[in-house]
Amino acid sequence: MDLTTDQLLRVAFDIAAAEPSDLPEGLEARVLARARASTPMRHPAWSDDGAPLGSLDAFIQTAVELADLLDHLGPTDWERTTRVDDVSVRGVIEHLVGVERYVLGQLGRRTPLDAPRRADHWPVTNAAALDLTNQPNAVVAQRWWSEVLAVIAACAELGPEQGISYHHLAGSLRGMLVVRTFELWTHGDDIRHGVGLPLSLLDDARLALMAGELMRVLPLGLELSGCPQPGRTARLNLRGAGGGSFDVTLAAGETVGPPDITLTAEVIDLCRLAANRLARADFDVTVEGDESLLEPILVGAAAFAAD
Amino acid sequence: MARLAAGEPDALSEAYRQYAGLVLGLSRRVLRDETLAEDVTQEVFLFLWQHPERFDGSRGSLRSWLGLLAHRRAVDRVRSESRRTARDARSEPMDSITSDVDDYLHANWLSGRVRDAIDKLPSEQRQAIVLAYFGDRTYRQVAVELALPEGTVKSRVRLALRRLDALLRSDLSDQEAPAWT
Repeated sequence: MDLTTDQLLRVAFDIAAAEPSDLPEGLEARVLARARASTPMRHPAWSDDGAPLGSLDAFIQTAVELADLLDHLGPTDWERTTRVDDVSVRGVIEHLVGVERYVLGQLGRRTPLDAPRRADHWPVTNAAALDLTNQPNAVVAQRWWSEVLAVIAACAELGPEQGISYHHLAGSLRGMLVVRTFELWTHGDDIRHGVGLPLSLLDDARLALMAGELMRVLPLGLELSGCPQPGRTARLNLRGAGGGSFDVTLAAGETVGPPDITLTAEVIDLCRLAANRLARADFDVTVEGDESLLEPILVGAAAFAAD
Repeated sequence: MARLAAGEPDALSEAYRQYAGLVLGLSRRVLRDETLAEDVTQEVFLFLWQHPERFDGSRGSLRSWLGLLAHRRAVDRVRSESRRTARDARSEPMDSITSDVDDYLHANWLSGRVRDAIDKLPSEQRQAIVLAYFGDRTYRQVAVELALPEGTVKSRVRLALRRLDALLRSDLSDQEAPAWT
C-alpha cells in the first residue's frame, strides 16, 4: 500500500500526542488571551446585529458550502461548462478569485482595482484568471479559499457599518455581504447545474436574510434600473420557509401606502430571479391589482445581480 | 477556518480542544521542557488565529499542518536555544520562518522518517498496522483478511505502535530536520 505523507504523519503525531487530561490547566486561557490581544478580532457590532443570522455569518456559511462543493469535484467536473455564458467550472472559480481580490481592494487590503460600473464585474477579474493559467485545479480552489478568508477577516474586523462600493452599488458591508452571499450561492448553483447536481435550496435563515434585504433595497433597484414608480406601493407575499409578507414603496425615500399591486410567489424563485438565474417569463407569480407595475418590480429586483 | 478568519474566539477554543494534545505532546518530545513546550503551543495557536489562510486543505489535514508547525517550531527553538539566548529566540516571529517550501520540505523529511520506521517493523506487525491504521479497516476486518483472531491483530497493532514510538522518539527530536528557508 502506498502511504501518503499525511497518513505517515498521522501515525507519528498520534504516538506523540498528549492525552487531553494531560493538558496544563490555564493553557487554553493563555492561548485565548494572546489571541484576543492580537489582531484581527471580530468587530463587536457583528454580534449586535439583532437578526437571527447576520450577513457575515451567511456569507461564511455560503463560502464554506462552496468550498465543500469544490472539494468533491473530479478533474472532469472542473472542465464542464456552466450556465454562465459557457464558462467552465474552473472559469467560475477563477472569476471568484478575481472578485475576492477586487473586494479586498475596495476594503483597502489590496491595491484597488478600477471597476465602478456593473459591466466591469467580469472584466475586472480577468487578471486573476490569467495569474492562474496552468495552475492545477486544486491550486485554483485553494487560492479562492485564501482570498475569501482574507475577505472574511477584513469584514469581521471592519464591522457591518463600514462603507464600501461594489461596482455600481454603494452601501455598508452588511449589505455588500448579502449581495456577495447571493453571488456565492448563485455561482455554487451554476457549478451544481454544470456537473449535474441538485441546486441548493438554501436554509430558512439565509433565505429570510436575503429576501428581507432584497425587499429593503427594492426601491433603490427600481431607481437604478430607471423605472421608479413614485407614489406606488407593492405587497409581496413570499411563500415558503424564509418568506413573509412585505409592503414596499416603488421609489426610493417614500412612505408605504395601501398596496397598488400584490404579488404572491415562492421566496426561492424571487431570489433566483434577483440573481439573474430565473427568466422573468419563467417566474411563477400571482398578481392582483395594477399589473403594469409587475415589470418594473421584476426589473428592479434583478438590479443587484452582478452577472 | 472561516470562523477563525472571522475572528471568532470560540473557533480558536474549538481548535485548541481538538489539537492542543497533539501540539503540546510534540513540543514536549522535542524540547523536553514544559515551559518551552507550552510556549510553542501558544505560538502555534496564535499563528493559526492570525493566519488561517496559510492552511492548504488540498495538501493534508489541519491536524497534520498543526503538527508540522509545532514540530518545526520546537526543533527551531532547540536550535535557537543552543545558538543564542532564549530571549532572542522567543522574539523571532513565527510567520517569518514559515513558507510553503518549508512546509513541503519538513513534511517530506518527517514522513520519510516514519516510513523508515514502519519498514523496520517485523513484517507481521507492519502488515497489521498498515491495514488497520492506514487501510481504514476495523480490527475485525483485518482479522478476517489475515485469518487471525481479532485479539492477535489488536496485540500486533499495539506492539507496532509501541515499537514505532521507540523508533521515532529520537527522530521527532532530531535537529537534522530541514533548516528554515
